[in-house]
Amino acid sequence: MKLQVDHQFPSPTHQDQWEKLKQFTDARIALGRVGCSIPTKAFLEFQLAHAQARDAVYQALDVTHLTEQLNKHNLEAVHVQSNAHDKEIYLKRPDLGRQLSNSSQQYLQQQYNKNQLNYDLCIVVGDGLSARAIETNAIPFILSLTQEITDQSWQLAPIIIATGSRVEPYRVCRRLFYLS
Amino acid sequence: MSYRMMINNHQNHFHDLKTLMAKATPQRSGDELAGIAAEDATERVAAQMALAELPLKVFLNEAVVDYEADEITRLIIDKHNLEAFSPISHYTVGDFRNWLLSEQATTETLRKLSSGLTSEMVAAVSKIIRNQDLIYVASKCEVITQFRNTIGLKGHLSTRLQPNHPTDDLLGISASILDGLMYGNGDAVIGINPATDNLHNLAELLKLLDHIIQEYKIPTQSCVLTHISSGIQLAEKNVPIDLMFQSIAGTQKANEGFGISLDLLQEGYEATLALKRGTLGNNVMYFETGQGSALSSNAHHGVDQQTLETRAYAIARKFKPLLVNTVVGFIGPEYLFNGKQIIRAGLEDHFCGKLLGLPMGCDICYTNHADADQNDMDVLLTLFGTAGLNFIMGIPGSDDVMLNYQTTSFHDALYLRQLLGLKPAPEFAAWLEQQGIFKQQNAQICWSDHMPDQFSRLLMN
Repeated sequence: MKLQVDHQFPSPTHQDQWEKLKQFTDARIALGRVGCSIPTKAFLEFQLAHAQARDAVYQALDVTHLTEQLNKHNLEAVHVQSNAHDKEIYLKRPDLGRQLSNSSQQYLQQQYNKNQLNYDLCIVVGDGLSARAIETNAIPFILSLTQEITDQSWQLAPIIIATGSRVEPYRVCRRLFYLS
Repeated sequence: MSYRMMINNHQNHFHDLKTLMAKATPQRSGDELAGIAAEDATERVAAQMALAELPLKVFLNEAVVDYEADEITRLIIDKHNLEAFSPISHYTVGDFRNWLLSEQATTETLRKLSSGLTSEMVAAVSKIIRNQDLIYVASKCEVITQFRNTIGLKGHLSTRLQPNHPTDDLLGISASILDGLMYGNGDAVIGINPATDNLHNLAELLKLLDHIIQEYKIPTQSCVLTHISSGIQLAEKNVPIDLMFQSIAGTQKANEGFGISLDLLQEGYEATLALKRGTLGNNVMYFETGQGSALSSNAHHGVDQQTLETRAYAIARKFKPLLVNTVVGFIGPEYLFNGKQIIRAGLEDHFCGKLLGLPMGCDICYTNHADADQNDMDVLLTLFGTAGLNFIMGIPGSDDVMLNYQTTSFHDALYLRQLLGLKPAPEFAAWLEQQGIFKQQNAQICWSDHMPDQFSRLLMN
């Protein structure tokens, strides 16, 4: 049997005449339509963006790699963990993400007892809701700060890498390091 | 007063009314986070059974948040209409469920009853009914409001066109507005969440919206969703404000966290009425709510989040709003963990709001860290279409690039209109047809071949 080219359905996709307005916003405007619905390409682009955002939420921070990178730049790092030990608990219990785990508290206390150093500044890197964002941005951000810190002759505490963290560990770390 | 229910020789004991209400609430992460949820599924049903036996009159004598300490409780109790309540005053919560589902509960009887209902009565009955009951009973209600058009008529679905931009760029916002109008969205309101709250910026946005609405004679209204104290200052300066916006919550303390009180809301309400910008009606307020807001500011008094949400509706009711929007999944998974919880909460909010006589809409939405996706939103959207929701959000491609969450798109509104034959506000439908954008006949949307000249002209430069 032969394909009847002149009997093929025409394209059902309507493009929007205002596509040039896309230059003014990142909003998903001028997607066009099939019937009243979103065309396949635009639909899958949205799915991809959401999939990437979901994966970023559940991605674990690569603490070893981050520590190595910091060490490479002569920066010491310590890893602490909150009481939210997995992602589901982390998402459901913001209160636990604000508390340092017992073992991390003890560890920080030991460090302080051993060194008895006073610091001017402590940087805490928390994984939060996107470990990917931290892995991309933490090192460049810290490096750009360290120059300033050196210029000011400030004593920088070891960088604290906090996993399962909400905002509060900063306060706990601050107390444990006795920042001056 | 404490409450008991015997299940298999085990006595379930509920210390007070708020404990009973919390334990009877369908499972959600926010009540678990607050430590007030039922311990297990059996305790939940035991609480529901005890709640079903509770006389409705109890809610007039026992408050979940102390009367002396909370102006929302005082509002609920002091404004209660005993005469409207009398036909159901002999009912238990369980009887009330039965009555709502019966043929006696009609659009008209429900309308007459609404001022006789308190937030807590409505919240209580919502806890012992299924999703289909939430949908069916709400579908009997009709709450109509007016400003420059008529919203909430049965068989209609309106949309808030939400053209947000991360830097409030006027061109970027205008591009999203044009996109939305060409897709027949924007009859509930064209409403911007501003990225920056300074008065100058807010005034610029309001002037832009006013210009667009005047220039194209669009039968709709505008809103810039800023704090009411800023709104009042803008109204005093005669900046064109159609609708006054404010987020509200179900306790005085939570509202103090928002920086508001009933007095401040009254001031905002009166300032907006004085501008006399409505042409068809005087519903000038736009409120947003959402389960979990009181817990997030640690102002929940041990009351479950759904009951507190319904208490916020008592505030809304006082100010005869044009729109009440429950932003159901925005608050995050620690309050509503997944699609199932978001769907249930959305249906509860709509049901409770409608019974109390409010023009309920819903921001059918989720954040990236919730266990939900667009498929869950499709389910809730479709259920809402059958339940008779007044309005939904319309956002380019579902993706809000300023607030970074996902909600319903312009296309989603058209899906629902086609599927169920729902129409925009009649004045707006007539405008769409007259402008040559599209014409809707029953469920059929008939598009014009070209973008109308008055709009395509804008693209020339």
